Amino acid sequence: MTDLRHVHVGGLTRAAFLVRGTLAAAALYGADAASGFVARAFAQTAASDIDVLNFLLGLETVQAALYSAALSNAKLTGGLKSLATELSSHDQQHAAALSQAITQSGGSPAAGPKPSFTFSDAGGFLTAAQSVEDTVVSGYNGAITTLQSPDLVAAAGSIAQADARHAAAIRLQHSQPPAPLAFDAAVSQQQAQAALRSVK
Amino acid sequence: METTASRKRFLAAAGGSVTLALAACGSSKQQPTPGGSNPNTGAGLGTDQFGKGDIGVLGYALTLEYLEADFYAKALASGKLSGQAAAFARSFHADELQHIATLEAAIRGIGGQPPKRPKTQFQLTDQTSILQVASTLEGMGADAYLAQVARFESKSLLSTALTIHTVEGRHAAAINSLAGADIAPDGAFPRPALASDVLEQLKVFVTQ
Repeated sequence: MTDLRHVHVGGLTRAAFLVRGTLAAAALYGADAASGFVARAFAQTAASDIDVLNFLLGLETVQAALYSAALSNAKLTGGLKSLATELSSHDQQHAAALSQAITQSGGSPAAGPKPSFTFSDAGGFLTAAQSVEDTVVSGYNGAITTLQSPDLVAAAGSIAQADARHAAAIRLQHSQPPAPLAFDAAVSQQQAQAALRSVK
Repeated sequence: METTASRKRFLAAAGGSVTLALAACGSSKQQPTPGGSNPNTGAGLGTDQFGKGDIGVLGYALTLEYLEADFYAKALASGKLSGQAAAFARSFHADELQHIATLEAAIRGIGGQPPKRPKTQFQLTDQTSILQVASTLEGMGADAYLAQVARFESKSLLSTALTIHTVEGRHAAAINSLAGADIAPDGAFPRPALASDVLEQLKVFVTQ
């Protein structure tokens, strides 16, 4: 049976393994190995995966519009304003990474949906944001299984986790349970798009 | 003592760079283990001890869930939690038990046996120390799943793992929020945690 105390890493001592890996990462990517991981994976995009990435880009477009409307119209203050600013920044980074991957592999980033949110206060924003974030998580979970490239599965998975963290943070602000289900949903592109169209 | 976030970043930076090491030296001295390793994350290193292929990945994931479930059970039994911390612990404990049931069934479904449950020990001095352990376990758990998702041979098992992965991400963010830590310590792109690093980190919580 497995004993967790006696795990070895490919014949290297753990220290040597970590040092070697860290030095190599620093040499190639400077301090920012995280975006290096995602950028490197997205650089492997195959033509067959472009449509799925365009769908994911559409999800990020909706989120970007959501936070843009929130920061302009919802009269946010304090912690909630800071949170919306942070999440807006993350989603813009997601959209940029997806857009770049699509372009690099010979595709064209789709214009995507142009949602218009009608909320005008924090409560309205939180209601819309909770629906959007939960839907985006389930959209990623459904779409990732349709990707051909394992590298893309990991990169899109990273964004899915970020969006799940966003969903939990928004839900807490909304006095809702952060993880309402033991298993998040996984929905089709059509289901996710229909759900997002109904959010105002 | 290092903070959870800095420790996590350090581990993730090292874990994410196995391929980089290969790319940098242009050799293949560190072969990925059999069973389908994602060359991007080096995710295979460490899971083969739980079995080959999907059985190994599931056994590894199940081991993490056993630890998390045990932790929440002991944290709740300690009587040190109140308010939202107690509510989260009850809710997340219930989630982990459902993950365990599903993963055990999945392993048996493809002809494997669930791994032995580790015997655990946790620092449960007060609510603050409990939240610190929760933050470590949930953050590491989410990033551990992230490192494995690209390795599944079965699309159906991949789907199951993805829907658990994002729940672990939610748990991690909620615990961090309550503990006054960043809900997304890695920023926009959470980093996968190599199985061998995760298992090494978890030794502190395992007595045998």
